[in-house]
Amino acid sequence: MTLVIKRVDPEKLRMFKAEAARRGLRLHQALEEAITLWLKYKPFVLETEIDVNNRVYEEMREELLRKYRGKFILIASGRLIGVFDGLEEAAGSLEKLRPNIKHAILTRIGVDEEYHGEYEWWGGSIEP
Amino acid sequence: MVGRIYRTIDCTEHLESKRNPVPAIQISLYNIHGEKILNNVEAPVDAGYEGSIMLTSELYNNFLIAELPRRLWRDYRTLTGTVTMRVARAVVEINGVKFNTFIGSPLFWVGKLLVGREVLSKLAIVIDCSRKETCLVEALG
Repeated sequence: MTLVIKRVDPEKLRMFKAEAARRGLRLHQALEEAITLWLKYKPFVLETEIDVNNRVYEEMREELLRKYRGKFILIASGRLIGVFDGLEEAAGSLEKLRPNIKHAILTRIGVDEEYHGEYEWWGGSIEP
Repeated sequence: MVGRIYRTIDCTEHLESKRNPVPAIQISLYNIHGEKILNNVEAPVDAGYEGSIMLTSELYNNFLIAELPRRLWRDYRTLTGTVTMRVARAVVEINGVKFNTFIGSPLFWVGKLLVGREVLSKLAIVIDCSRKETCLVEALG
Protein backbone atom coordinates (compact mmCIF):
# COMPACT_ATOMS: atom_id res chain seq x y z
CA MET A 1 0.00 0.00 0.00
CA THR A 2 1.00 3.65 -0.43
CA LEU A 3 1.34 5.79 2.67
CA VAL A 4 1.51 9.59 2.79
CA ILE A 5 2.56 11.11 6.11
CA LYS A 6 2.49 14.84 6.88
CA ARG A 7 4.39 16.82 9.51
CA VAL A 8 7.29 14.39 9.85
CA ASP A 9 10.35 15.99 11.46
CA PRO A 10 12.67 16.49 8.45
CA GLU A 11 15.77 15.99 10.59
CA LYS A 12 14.56 12.63 11.91
CA LEU A 13 13.50 11.56 8.42
CA ARG A 14 16.92 12.46 7.04
CA MET A 15 18.65 10.38 9.72
CA PHE A 16 16.21 7.52 9.16
CA LYS A 17 16.96 7.54 5.42
CA ALA A 18 20.69 7.63 6.06
CA GLU A 19 20.48 4.67 8.44
CA ALA A 20 18.33 2.72 5.95
CA ALA A 21 20.88 3.39 3.21
CA ARG A 22 23.72 2.35 5.49
CA ARG A 23 21.97 -0.96 6.16
CA GLY A 24 21.20 -1.47 2.46
CA LEU A 25 17.44 -1.28 2.99
CA ARG A 26 14.82 0.44 0.89
CA LEU A 27 12.81 3.04 2.77
CA HIS A 28 9.66 0.92 3.03
CA GLN A 29 11.69 -2.03 4.34
CA ALA A 30 13.31 0.14 7.01
CA LEU A 31 9.94 1.60 8.01
CA GLU A 32 8.37 -1.85 8.33
CA GLU A 33 11.30 -3.00 10.46
CA ALA A 34 10.99 0.08 12.68
CA ILE A 35 7.24 -0.44 13.11
CA THR A 36 7.74 -4.12 13.97
CA LEU A 37 10.41 -3.29 16.56
CA TRP A 38 8.38 -0.50 18.08
CA LEU A 39 5.32 -2.72 18.47
CA LYS A 40 7.30 -5.68 19.75
CA TYR A 41 9.60 -3.91 22.20
CA LYS A 42 7.47 -0.93 23.19
CA PRO A 43 7.70 -1.59 26.95
CA PHE A 44 11.48 -1.89 26.79
CA VAL A 45 12.45 1.03 24.61
CA LEU A 46 14.68 3.39 26.57
CA GLU A 47 15.95 6.79 25.62
CA THR A 48 19.69 7.23 25.66
CA GLU A 49 21.32 10.14 27.48
CA ILE A 50 21.82 11.78 24.08
CA ASP A 51 18.15 11.31 23.16
CA VAL A 52 16.94 12.77 26.46
CA ASN A 53 19.17 15.84 26.26
CA ASN A 54 18.15 16.50 22.68
CA ARG A 55 14.48 16.07 23.51
CA VAL A 56 14.79 18.62 26.31
CA TYR A 57 16.61 21.02 23.98
CA GLU A 58 13.88 20.69 21.35
CA GLU A 59 11.15 21.24 23.92
CA MET A 60 12.87 24.40 25.21
CA ARG A 61 14.34 25.70 21.97
CA GLU A 62 11.78 28.39 21.19
CA GLU A 63 11.92 29.74 24.72
CA LEU A 64 15.72 29.66 24.79
CA LEU A 65 15.92 31.55 21.49
CA ARG A 66 13.49 34.13 22.78
CA LYS A 67 15.16 34.71 26.15
CA TYR A 68 18.83 33.84 25.88
CA ARG A 69 20.09 34.68 22.39
CA GLY A 70 23.89 34.94 22.46
CA LYS A 71 24.25 33.06 25.77
CA PHE A 72 25.64 29.57 26.33
CA ILE A 73 23.19 26.99 27.59
CA LEU A 74 24.06 23.67 29.17
CA ILE A 75 21.70 20.70 29.13
CA ALA A 76 22.66 17.49 30.93
CA SER A 77 20.86 14.65 32.70
CA GLY A 78 17.68 15.67 30.90
CA ARG A 79 17.45 19.21 32.29
CA LEU A 80 18.67 22.73 31.71
CA ILE A 81 21.67 23.07 34.01
CA GLY A 82 22.24 26.75 33.41
CA VAL A 83 22.59 29.77 31.16
CA PHE A 84 26.03 31.37 30.95
CA ASP A 85 27.63 34.48 29.50
CA GLY A 86 30.86 32.71 28.58
CA LEU A 87 32.17 29.31 27.60
CA GLU A 88 34.56 29.08 30.59
CA GLU A 89 31.69 29.65 33.00
CA ALA A 90 29.67 26.89 31.32
CA ALA A 91 32.68 24.55 31.36
CA GLY A 92 33.09 25.22 35.10
CA SER A 93 29.50 24.22 35.74
CA LEU A 94 29.98 21.12 33.62
CA GLU A 95 33.03 20.18 35.68
CA LYS A 96 30.86 19.98 38.80
CA LEU A 97 28.67 17.33 37.17
CA ARG A 98 31.54 14.93 36.59
CA PRO A 99 31.81 11.96 36.51
CA ASN A 100 28.07 11.33 36.48
CA ILE A 101 27.38 12.40 32.91
CA LYS A 102 28.66 11.10 29.62
CA HIS A 103 26.82 13.54 27.38
CA ALA A 104 25.82 17.17 27.52
CA ILE A 105 24.57 19.78 25.09
CA LEU A 106 26.57 22.97 25.18
CA THR A 107 25.48 25.49 22.61
CA ARG A 108 25.47 29.22 22.11
CA ILE A 109 21.88 30.10 21.48
CA GLY A 110 21.21 31.79 18.14
CA VAL A 111 24.93 31.90 17.32
CA ASP A 112 25.84 28.26 16.70
CA GLU A 113 22.91 28.19 14.27
CA GLU A 114 24.96 30.41 11.96
CA TYR A 115 27.48 27.59 11.53
CA HIS A 116 24.76 25.09 10.69
CA GLY A 117 23.96 24.13 7.14
CA GLU A 118 25.40 22.29 4.20
CA TYR A 119 29.17 22.16 3.91
CA GLU A 120 31.41 20.69 1.25
CA TRP A 121 34.08 18.06 1.34
CA TRP A 122 35.65 17.91 -2.08
CA GLY A 123 36.94 14.49 -2.87
CA GLY A 124 35.83 13.25 0.50
CA SER A 125 34.33 9.84 0.75
CA ILE A 126 33.16 7.48 3.41
CA GLU A 127 35.93 5.07 2.43
CA PRO A 128 38.61 4.92 5.14
CA MET B 1 54.37 39.72 -9.96
CA VAL B 2 54.06 39.98 -6.20
CA GLY B 3 57.05 39.12 -4.03
CA ARG B 4 56.55 38.29 -0.39
CA ILE B 5 58.92 36.92 2.22
CA TYR B 6 57.85 34.52 4.92
CA ARG B 7 59.69 33.23 7.95
CA THR B 8 59.02 29.63 8.89
CA ILE B 9 57.93 29.06 12.48
CA ASP B 10 57.56 25.31 12.57
CA CYS B 11 57.54 22.57 9.95
CA THR B 12 55.98 19.11 9.89
CA GLU B 13 57.10 16.37 7.55
CA HIS B 14 54.50 15.05 5.16
CA LEU B 15 52.97 11.73 6.09
CA GLU B 16 53.79 8.58 4.19
CA SER B 17 51.23 7.51 1.64
CA LYS B 18 50.99 4.83 -1.04
CA ARG B 19 51.84 7.31 -3.80
CA ASN B 20 51.97 10.98 -2.80
CA PRO B 21 52.92 12.09 0.73
CA VAL B 22 50.18 13.82 2.73
CA PRO B 23 50.64 17.40 4.05
CA ALA B 24 50.18 17.55 7.82
CA ILE B 25 50.42 19.94 10.75
CA GLN B 26 50.93 19.21 14.44
CA ILE B 27 47.94 19.75 16.68
CA SER B 28 46.92 19.11 20.25
CA LEU B 29 43.28 18.82 21.12
CA TYR B 30 41.55 19.37 24.46
CA ASN B 31 37.98 18.69 25.49
CA ILE B 32 35.96 21.31 27.33
CA HIS B 33 37.23 19.97 30.69
CA GLY B 34 40.76 20.84 29.57
CA GLU B 35 41.81 17.21 29.20
CA LYS B 36 44.39 16.73 26.50
CA ILE B 37 42.94 14.14 24.13
CA LEU B 38 45.51 14.48 21.35
CA ASN B 39 49.06 15.47 22.15
CA ASN B 40 51.12 16.93 19.29
CA VAL B 41 49.67 14.65 16.68
CA GLU B 42 50.48 15.04 12.99
CA ALA B 43 47.08 15.68 11.46
CA PRO B 44 46.58 15.53 7.67
CA VAL B 45 45.69 18.84 6.04
CA ASP B 46 42.61 18.65 3.80
CA ALA B 47 41.85 21.94 2.06
CA GLY B 48 38.84 20.27 0.45
CA TYR B 49 37.18 19.81 3.83
CA GLU B 50 35.21 22.92 4.72
CA GLY B 51 34.81 21.97 8.36
CA SER B 52 37.30 22.37 11.19
CA ILE B 53 38.67 19.08 12.51
CA MET B 54 37.37 15.62 11.78
CA LEU B 55 37.99 12.82 14.26
CA THR B 56 37.41 9.11 14.41
CA SER B 57 34.27 8.18 16.30
CA GLU B 58 36.41 6.65 19.05
CA LEU B 59 38.25 9.93 19.66
CA TYR B 60 35.05 11.93 19.28
CA ASN B 61 33.57 10.10 22.29
CA ASN B 62 35.90 12.18 24.49
CA PHE B 63 34.03 15.33 23.41
CA LEU B 64 30.43 14.20 23.99
CA ILE B 65 30.27 16.38 27.09
CA ALA B 66 29.99 19.50 24.93
CA GLU B 67 28.05 18.39 21.91
CA LEU B 68 25.82 20.59 19.79
CA PRO B 69 22.13 19.68 19.51
CA ARG B 70 21.28 17.21 16.75
CA ARG B 71 19.60 19.86 14.65
CA LEU B 72 22.95 21.71 14.43
CA TRP B 73 24.94 18.75 13.19
CA ARG B 74 26.35 19.34 9.74
CA ASP B 75 25.82 17.77 6.32
CA TYR B 76 28.83 17.58 4.02
CA ARG B 77 28.41 17.17 0.28
CA THR B 78 30.93 14.71 -1.13
CA LEU B 79 31.40 13.07 -4.52
CA THR B 80 29.64 9.98 -3.21
CA GLY B 81 26.72 11.64 -1.45
CA THR B 82 26.02 13.49 1.76
CA VAL B 83 27.80 12.65 4.99
CA THR B 84 26.22 13.80 8.27
CA MET B 85 28.66 14.78 11.00
CA ARG B 86 28.05 15.09 14.70
CA VAL B 87 29.52 18.33 16.05
CA ALA B 88 31.01 19.22 19.44
CA ARG B 89 33.10 21.95 21.04
CA ALA B 90 36.83 21.56 21.62
CA VAL B 91 40.00 23.57 22.06
CA VAL B 92 42.80 23.12 19.54
CA GLU B 93 46.42 24.06 20.13
CA ILE B 94 48.70 24.77 17.21
CA ASN B 95 52.25 25.95 17.78
CA GLY B 96 51.47 26.95 21.37
CA VAL B 97 48.36 28.96 20.48
CA LYS B 98 45.02 27.68 21.74
CA PHE B 99 41.64 28.56 20.29
CA ASN B 100 38.08 27.27 20.50
CA THR B 101 36.87 25.21 17.61
CA PHE B 102 34.27 22.71 16.53
CA ILE B 103 35.12 19.10 15.86
CA GLY B 104 33.10 16.58 13.92
CA SER B 105 32.78 12.88 13.32
CA PRO B 106 30.55 11.04 10.86
CA LEU B 107 27.28 9.78 12.26
CA PHE B 108 27.43 6.48 10.34
CA TRP B 109 31.09 5.80 9.81
CA VAL B 110 34.29 5.43 11.76
CA GLY B 111 35.77 8.71 10.47
CA LYS B 112 39.37 9.86 10.19
CA LEU B 113 41.64 12.56 11.54
CA LEU B 114 42.06 15.63 9.37
CA VAL B 115 42.25 19.40 9.60
CA GLY B 116 39.92 21.39 7.36
CA ARG B 117 39.52 24.94 6.14
CA GLU B 118 37.69 26.24 9.21
CA VAL B 119 40.97 25.83 11.13
CA LEU B 120 43.34 26.43 8.21
CA SER B 121 41.72 29.82 7.61
CA LYS B 122 43.17 30.96 10.94
CA LEU B 123 46.73 30.01 9.96
CA ALA B 124 49.41 30.97 7.46
CA ILE B 125 50.94 27.79 6.09
CA VAL B 126 53.19 26.81 3.22
CA ILE B 127 52.81 23.35 1.75
CA ASP B 128 56.26 22.65 0.34
CA CYS B 129 55.86 19.45 -1.63
CA SER B 130 59.43 19.45 -2.94
CA ARG B 131 60.75 19.34 0.65
CA LYS B 132 57.84 17.15 1.73
CA GLU B 133 56.97 19.39 4.64
CA THR B 134 54.22 21.81 5.66
CA CYS B 135 55.31 24.90 7.57
CA LEU B 136 53.56 27.44 9.74
CA VAL B 137 54.86 30.79 8.57
CA GLU B 138 54.61 34.50 9.23
CA ALA B 139 54.96 37.21 6.61
CA LEU B 140 57.89 39.59 7.03
CA GLY B 141 57.45 43.26 6.38
